[in-house]
Parts: sequence; structure tokens; C-alpha cells
Amino acid sequence: MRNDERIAGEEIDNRIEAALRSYAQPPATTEPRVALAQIMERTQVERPPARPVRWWKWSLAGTAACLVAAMVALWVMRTPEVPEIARLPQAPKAVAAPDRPAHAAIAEVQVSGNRRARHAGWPAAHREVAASTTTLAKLAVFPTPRPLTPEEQALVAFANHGPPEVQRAVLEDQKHWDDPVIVADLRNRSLRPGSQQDR
Amino acid sequence: MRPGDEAEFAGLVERQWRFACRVAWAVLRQAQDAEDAAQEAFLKIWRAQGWRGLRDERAYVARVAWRAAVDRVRDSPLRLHSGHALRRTPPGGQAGDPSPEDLADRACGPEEIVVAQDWEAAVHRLIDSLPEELRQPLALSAEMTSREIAATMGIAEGTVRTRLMRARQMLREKIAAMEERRHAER
Repeated sequence: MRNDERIAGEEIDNRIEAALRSYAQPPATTEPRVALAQIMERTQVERPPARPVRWWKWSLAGTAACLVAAMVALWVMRTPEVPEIARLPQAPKAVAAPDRPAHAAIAEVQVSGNRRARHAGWPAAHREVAASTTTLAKLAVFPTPRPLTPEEQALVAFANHGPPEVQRAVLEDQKHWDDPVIVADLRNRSLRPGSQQDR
Repeated sequence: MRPGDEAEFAGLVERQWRFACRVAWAVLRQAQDAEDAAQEAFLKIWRAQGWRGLRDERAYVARVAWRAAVDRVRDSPLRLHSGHALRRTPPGGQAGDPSPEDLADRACGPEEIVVAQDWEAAVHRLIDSLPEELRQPLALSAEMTSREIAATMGIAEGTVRTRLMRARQMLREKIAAMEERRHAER
């Protein structure tokens, strides 16, 4: 009984295999050479439109790149946004900086000059704003030394080349420059004739 | 393109055309659709210049042809929601024959098919009635090994073996039931 079942099962399997083989076979197919000719014809038809599409792609990409570059350049060259209050001219701070050597101050003046030169290409209004916001050079001495007037120069020449007693008097006088100035009491003479009273 | 490319490609088509058609046929079960899918597969190979440096051209062609056929099923307006491909016409069968789904709708079993047609055609219809995930590996198993089927369908070889076993088991059960009914009717 079991043997019969096994034989029946094998028979079914064989018949399934046979049916499967016929199931997998398509009824008829085109000859490979004919199929090849059809495929090559389709490749020839598909080729030409491929080039313009590629050209357009490249041109679009180039245009986009130029636009991006122009936008970046504009963004870099745009006017810096300064708050309105910062555009008001400010008085330089009267702070003495005794520790800074004079050559540092001179270098700072040069840097300031360079900034001015850098701003030269800007429109006039923008240049003014930039000039007003540029920091002034901080000098080592305040107030700023100014050249001597002709009268002062004459006094210095007189003190240097004058008689020895005059030079001594000038030197003596310099020692007392910082002394407080004392104004003597005023003495007014009486307008009445003969009166001796002074006040 | 190199000078010898067309000759190489022509050789590939001549060697693998029938095989590509059979792979597509296993999925689509329509002769014209299967040939169109095979042509589409070779066009893809031509565009990608895929014939260069192939280690296993048969596996490569099977993969591309199977993919083209599956895409064709997906894009077809006749696609059925049950997961089956196009309504299939078995070789030797008529287009107007009732499909297994139609027979089920009429409350008929697969046994009734046997009454009207020969045994092999009935088995073909039983194979058609299998779920698509079982039917495709079974149909491809007539042409390819489990490993080749796995590479073609992009699934594990163990999964292919399991599906083949399940498909054969289902077929056996259906055929046994069909045979019993035939004997009882005699």
C-alpha cells in the first residue's frame, strides 16, 4: 500500500516536471538575428535626441553657475549694514595713552590712511560715513603738540642767545612755572588831590 | 563606442535572445509582451554597454530581462490586484477559456478544467493559479538553478528553495485532489 503511494507520488512528480518544462516554453519566438536587427534599429532611433538634451543640460548648469557667482560677488561687495546711531560723527575721546610709543601712533595713522584709500572706490555718501566712523589716531601726548608761533620762536632764540644774566633769569623762571600765580593787592590812588590814602 | 562593440553585442543577442524571452515569458505569460520585454532588456544592456567584462552573461541577461518583465507588469493597466501578472493564456489554450479565478467565481474546482481539457493544460492552469511569489520561481526553475533564480530575483537562495518546495507541495495537493475527483466520476 505504502509502496503504491510512493510510486503514485513519483509519477505525479514526473508529470509535474514534464508539465513544468512545457509551461516554461514560450509558444514561438522571433529569430535572434531578426530581434538583433530590431534592437539595433531602436538604438539608432534613440541616439539623435540624446545630444541636444545633454547640451541643454550643460548650458543650464553653466548659466546657473554664473548666476550663483554673480550673487556671491554682489553679496561680498555690498555696503556693510551699520546701525543709524553709529553713523553719527563722534568726538575723539580725550584719553591720554602715555604707554604707547609715538611710532605706534604714526603706524595707526598710516593704517587709517589705508582704510581711506580702500574706501576710495565707494560712492561719496558711503565714503563720508566710513570717514566718520574711522577711529582717529591716539597720540601719546595730549593736547597734541603744535608748532611754535613766531613770537614764541623769537623768545626761545632770545633765551638761547641772550646775555648770561638773561639765560639765568629764564632758567630761574622755568623753575617756578608750576607755582600758583599770586596777584598782588590792587592799590587804587585817591582821585582827590593831596590825599595820601591808598587802598 | 569601440570598433568591435557592435559585433560583441550582436554575439550576445544571438546567444542569449531565446533565454531572455523564456525568462520574460515566465513572468508575463504573453508571447508578444515577453518579446518586447526581452528587447527592452537588450536595449538597456546596449545603453549601459553592459556586455563588457561580464563574468556570467547568462545570469546578467536573466537579471535584466526579469527586471524588464516585472516593470512591464507593474506599468500594465491590466495588472490584477491579487498580485498576479497579466491574465495569462497558456500555450495551447484559447483566449476565451475560463481562468482558474473565473472558475472559482463560478464555484467550480480545478477538477472541472480536467473534464474539458487535457491533463497538461490543467496543470498549467493550476500553476497559473499559484501565488505570484511561488509561481515565478517555479516557472524559472525549468531553466535555472536555485542559485541563478536567487540572483535573478534578488532574493536569498534559501528563500527560493522554500518557495519551490511550497509551490510543488501545493501543486501535488491540487493534482491529487483532481485525480481523486476524476476516479470518483468514472
